[in-house]
Amino acid sequence: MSQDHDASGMSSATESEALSAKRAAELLEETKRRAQREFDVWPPYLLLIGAVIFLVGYGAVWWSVRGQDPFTGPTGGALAVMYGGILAWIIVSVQVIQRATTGIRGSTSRSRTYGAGYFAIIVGYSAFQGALYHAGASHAIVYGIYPASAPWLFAGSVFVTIAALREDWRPLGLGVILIGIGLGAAYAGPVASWLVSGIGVFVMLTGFAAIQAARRRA
Amino acid sequence: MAIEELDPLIHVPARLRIMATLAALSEGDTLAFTRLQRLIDLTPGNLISHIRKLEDAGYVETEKTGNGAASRTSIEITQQGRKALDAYTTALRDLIHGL
Repeated sequence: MSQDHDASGMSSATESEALSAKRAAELLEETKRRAQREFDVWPPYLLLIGAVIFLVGYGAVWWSVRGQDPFTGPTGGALAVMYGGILAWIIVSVQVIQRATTGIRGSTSRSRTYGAGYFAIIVGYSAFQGALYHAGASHAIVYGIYPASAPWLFAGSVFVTIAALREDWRPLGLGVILIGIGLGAAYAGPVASWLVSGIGVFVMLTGFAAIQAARRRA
Repeated sequence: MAIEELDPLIHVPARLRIMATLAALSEGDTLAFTRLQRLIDLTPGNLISHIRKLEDAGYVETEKTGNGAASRTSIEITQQGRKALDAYTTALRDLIHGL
């Protein structure tokens, strides 16, 4: 901050005269919208892509297990579609968040540090699934109810905790919805749990995208 | 309401864009000078000049951390700045609706 001169070469009075009220309102609106787009860590398009990926991925797994009696578990191809899609979405989401938060410090930039927490959850979730298998739990639990419902219960608990720490109702709502999806999937049984999860997350992300789009228009 | 009554510190294209950009951040967030410069598309000297005027009015705060090549200047809109921008926006709406 070493330069005091106005490099534009225009005095404030001259600049004010040149800016009409209508142009000022347009400039304000354009700048506000551009800044909101630039700083948005969860743009609506990303949420909608995620909604479709979760619906298709979980739908593919449900398709592969429907009618199984006894329940043996999803096919490798269906799991590849689901986890491949989710992984691709996570990679894109991380890039979007990094781009949006570049140069920002404060609460928004903490979105980056949450990544480590989510990674720990995924590792813990997978290790616990292994423990269930080694403890002799049925395929209905190990390959059905647990993987279809537990991620949402874990993630929901995290969001509820974040809400409490930040005293923010938005992650609280998201956390409660995720826990609801997890519980709904758990009670739906090993086959329908995949469908309940897929539809539940699709509806949640679509709703979130609609809220984000409405906030941008406001 | 006349256009001359609008806050002259904000009613300048560059400073209006600076204020609107910083107000889009969450409260308590700061923005790096380099990113603000890219978003506003001003020369460093020009941007510094406008920020200095806003800082003198208490609308923004700047903080410089580090030294040399690792130094980083960050800018944050203050509560007073948010209130001033809100008042400016309201006055601008009144002015347009009154035309």
